[in-house]
Parts: sequence; C-alpha cells; structure tokens
Amino acid sequence: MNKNETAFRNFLENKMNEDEKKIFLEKLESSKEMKIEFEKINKIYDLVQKSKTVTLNSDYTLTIIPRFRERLVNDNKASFISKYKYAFAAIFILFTTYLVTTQLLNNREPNLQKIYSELSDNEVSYFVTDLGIDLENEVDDLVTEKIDSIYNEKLNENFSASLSENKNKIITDDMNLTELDNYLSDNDIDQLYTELLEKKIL
Amino acid sequence: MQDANNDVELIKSFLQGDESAFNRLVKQYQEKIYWHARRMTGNHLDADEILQEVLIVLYNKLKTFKFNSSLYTWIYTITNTRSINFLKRKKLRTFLSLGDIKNQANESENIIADLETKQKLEKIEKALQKLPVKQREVFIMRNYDDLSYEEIAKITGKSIGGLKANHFHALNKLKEMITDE
Repeated sequence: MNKNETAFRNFLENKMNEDEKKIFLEKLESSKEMKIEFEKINKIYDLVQKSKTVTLNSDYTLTIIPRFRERLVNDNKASFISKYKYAFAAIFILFTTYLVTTQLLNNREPNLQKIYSELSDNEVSYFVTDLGIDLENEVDDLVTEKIDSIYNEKLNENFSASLSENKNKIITDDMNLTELDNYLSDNDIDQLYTELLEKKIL
Repeated sequence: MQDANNDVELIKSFLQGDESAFNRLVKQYQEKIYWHARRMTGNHLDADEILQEVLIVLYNKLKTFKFNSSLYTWIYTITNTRSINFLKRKKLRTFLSLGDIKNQANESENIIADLETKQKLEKIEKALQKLPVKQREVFIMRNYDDLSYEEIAKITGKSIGGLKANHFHALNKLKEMITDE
C-alpha cells in the first residue's frame, strides 16, 4: 500500500489540523516525486467529488416506483406460472398417456358388446350356432391337413436321410439288392445295372 | 439515528400491509442504489435494471431483515451483489454474442442536465470500467461511499489486507489512465 495515500486522503478530506497540514505541505514542496503523485491523486479525487454531486433528473426518478409496481405484478404472474409449470406438465403428460393408451386398446380389441347390441336375435343365433359349428369344422379340416402335410414332409426327409446313409451299403451288399428293388422303378434298376456293367464292377 | 428509527418504523408499517411505507423507503434509497449500480456498470440502462431488481428483492425479503445491521448496509450489500452478478451475466452474454452490444453512453444524457458534470462523470466512469471488478468494487466503496476497510470487509466478506491491495492497484491504474488522457 502507498505510504502517502493516507496523508493525501486526510489532506484532501480536510481531516488534518493546522500543524499536520503545515508538515504535509513542507514535505510536498521538498519532494518532487511526492508532488507529482499528489497532483495525480488530486485529479482523481476532484473527478470523484464532482461525480458524487450529480443528482438524478426528476423525470427519471418519478418513473422508478410506477415501473417497479408494474414489474412486481408481472413477476408475481411469472412466479405463479414457474411454480406450477412442472405440475401442469405432469398432469398433461398423464392425461395424454391415458388418452393414447385407451385409444390404442380400443383399436386393438373390437368392442364385442357393441357388435352384439347392433345384431338381431336371429343374427346372433346364426353366428353362435351355425357359423360357430362351420367354423369349428373348418378349423378341424385345416388342422388335419396341416398335420398330414408335416407328417409327410418328415417321412420324406427321414427316407432321404436313410437312403443317403445306406447308399453304399445297398450298392455293395447283395442281400440288400432285393430290398432296393422295393424303392426303385424298373428304369432306375436298368440304369443302375448298366452303369455297374460299364464300370466293370459286375 | 433518526433515519434508522424512521427505517424501522417504515419497515414495520410495510410488514403490516402499508404499501405506501415501502414507496417511502424506495424514495429514500433509490438514488444510493442507482449510483452504486451505475458506478459498477458504467451506464444508465444497466444501473436502472439493477435498481429494479434490487427493489424486487427488497420487497420480497424485507420480512427477513433482522435489524442486526442498518438498513442502508443491508441494501448496499444486496445492490453490490446484484451488480456483480449482473456484470457476470452481461460478460457471459457478450461472450456468447446474445446480448445487445450497442454503445449505451448516450443513454445518460436524459438523466444528467449539466454538460460539464456529465463530461466529468463519463471520464471517471470510463476509467472505472477498465478496472477489474474486484478493484472497482473496493475503489467505489472507499471513495464514493466513504466506507472504511472494516465496513467493506463486512459487506464483501473479503480480508482487509486483500481489500487494501486491490485499492492500491486500482488507484495506481486510475492515476495512469486519468493523467494519460
């Protein structure tokens, strides 16, 4: 901290007695450096003191309270909204979710009670009895066909696999030739014998 | 002392529902709030904005005032904190180029009539704005509001040694700036 600051301040603010003032001024005259520094400080002090005396124009000061009151009302409104905005948002989300969910569920499952209420007794009877039996039969036939198809498919697969595994065995084993006949047509047998003769196996 | 008693009476009346008591408090302190904010920010528009913010805070928090310190010290502390926060926000807005960065120097014309005073005010304001906020803060409190280092330490929560150092640097910079012009 500048050692002269307090002395400068006391002198400028008139806080020195006559003896202190005299000593200060003598010091100031004897030191050029101190004098230059004091002049600079004095300039700042003067600017500060001048700007301290400035008073505000009444045209402006008269608007301060009305504008504050207006702002207070607006801030209270904004504060109410900001306080409850999360509650509003949560309610809105819940309500929207409820609406969307119920809508989706209604679309997925037809309202049977509504359909029944729109049908006459005869129509209801037709749907429940006749159409019900037909549908049951229809479903039975479809299921049987499907089971047969799967069964045949599996049977063919097993046969093919068995044929593939035993192919060499069938060809080389005389005992199995008769068995092979059961699976081959006459043409296939002729072709097989021809090939075997050509390759001089037989 | 009479002012302090008057403040207490006005606060009590306001807390009992007398809105005009608050208006009287505002009239008493509005210039002090404005000028501290003005010296900290260096322009009228920002000072006016801080003044309005401080009044809102006072209105809402006056019921929490404990009468441990004077009302002036309490208001002064709020104004100083608001001014520093405002400057931080403004700096951030300027950095992000979100704020209105127009020159606001001419805005002071309407509130100060005397040309010579206005020029002097602008000169010191300009110099003050070149100081870092910490140095500006202590310079204003010490030279404009004539607060002691002990009082400034109470308001800002900083050490007296740190405040003296900041004031010393502020004074040296101002000496250079003002004599160079």
